[in-house]
Amino acid sequence: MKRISLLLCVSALAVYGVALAATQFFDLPPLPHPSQYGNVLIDRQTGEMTMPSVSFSHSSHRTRYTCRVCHFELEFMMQANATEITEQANRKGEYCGKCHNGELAFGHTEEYCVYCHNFGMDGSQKRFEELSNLPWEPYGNEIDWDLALESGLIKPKASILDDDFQPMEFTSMLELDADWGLIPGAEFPHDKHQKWLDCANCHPDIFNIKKKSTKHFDMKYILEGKYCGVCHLKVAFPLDNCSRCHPKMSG
Amino acid sequence: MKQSRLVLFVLLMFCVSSVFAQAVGTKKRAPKPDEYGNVVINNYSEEAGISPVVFSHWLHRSMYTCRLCHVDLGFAMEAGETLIREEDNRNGLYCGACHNGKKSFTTKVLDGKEPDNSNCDRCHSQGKDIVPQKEFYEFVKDFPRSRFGNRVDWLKAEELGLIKLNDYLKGVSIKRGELKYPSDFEIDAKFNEMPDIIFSHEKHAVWNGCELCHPQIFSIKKASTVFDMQAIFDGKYCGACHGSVAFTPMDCQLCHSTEIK
Repeated sequence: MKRISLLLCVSALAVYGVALAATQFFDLPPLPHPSQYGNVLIDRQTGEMTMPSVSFSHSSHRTRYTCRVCHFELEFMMQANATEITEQANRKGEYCGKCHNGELAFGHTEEYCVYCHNFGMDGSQKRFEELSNLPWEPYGNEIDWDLALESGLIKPKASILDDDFQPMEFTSMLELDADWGLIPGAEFPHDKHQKWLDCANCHPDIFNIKKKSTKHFDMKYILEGKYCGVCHLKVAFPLDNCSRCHPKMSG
Repeated sequence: MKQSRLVLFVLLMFCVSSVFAQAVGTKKRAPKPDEYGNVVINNYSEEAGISPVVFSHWLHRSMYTCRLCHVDLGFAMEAGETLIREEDNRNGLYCGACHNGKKSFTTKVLDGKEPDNSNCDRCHSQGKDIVPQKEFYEFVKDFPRSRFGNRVDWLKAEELGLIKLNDYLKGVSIKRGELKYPSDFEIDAKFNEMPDIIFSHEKHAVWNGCELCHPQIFSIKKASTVFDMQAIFDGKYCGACHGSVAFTPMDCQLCHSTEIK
């Protein structure tokens, strides 16, 4: 009798586990309005400080600079509020202050406070309309940023610290087998990523460099914001666009 | 009894897998420039009711070569591996070779005077608000910059004479004749698209001599040590220094520097 109840207990746990995985697999996070996709609220110190929290728009910055510039050269972390940005650091020319110094971009003077410290009620909607000439894609910002870059419609700088910077040419295309039998495999183009990112943005923290040696790399964790999900949930094109990674999938 | 153990085991596996999953697939926090190369040594400290030691590589490497501590003084290359005791230091081993009241501060009883316990905190400093005598950012402000780690190009700083490295400690080191270092050589990158590596013996020898790497980390016969980049990221081979103290291997092109074919 004890054995049967134990078996029941274990199988119930297993069913629960599978159900959990399945709901997470199909439960994509809701998408905001295209103009709001990639917007980040930085409220690390709200409550302690008198200034309202900061809203940051990825779409208005990535037309000018690649991801590499901020997330590598300026050392912004890949998660909201994880970077210890302070007003003092900005004024010293770190983080936002590297550009927002009154020369490259508006500075840290009183009339501009509200440009960033605005509780997310910012003007990104208006700025977003300026991007209406960029190629369309169905999800996220509804902008095909890759195509915009390749066709020269935007020319983001890949470095602000080194004028002679040349990214390494690395074009290897990886074929990734899907874990589920009926799902066609995914493709990973290094070259498309290299145009925006530095090797060190992904390696070795997020992905090992040795093929097939990254553990727990599956959709469940990607949907939790790990692996590809570090970018492809909130900033780069979202996971709703299955066929962009799994080319043989419809939809 | 057996069954309840099994249930416990299954539950434990669930917990472990969910905790483990937290640590993978995300970007780690990069240490601040002044934290890079800091090592916490806590073999015996907490057990004895004292704060663990925080050792700053940047402060020491601005005065001494790596070789002096890691070869002549016998410090291991991994935190906690050396098993340093207070008694060792007082006998002039390890830290005590310099921290003896002559070369640098000490807590030892000197000439029958009371020991200066105010110095304890200067090393046993974890969790304490200790203001160092040399402030990192002030110290490195005119140094050539690099992209990672301490954000200091230590190699260039040494070449420019901004820091002068001492490679000899009286009573510990033994002077030998100079050796001519082998010339730079190329190491083939395993992956076709990666530029090959140029390894400079000379640049390394300024800091490390020969003994720090040979023969334990690298055999001396060319191409006989088989290693790959993942092993380096895991702290082996070049990763024994590059990633925790010397510039990090995330800066690909610093080593993969040949012309692209």
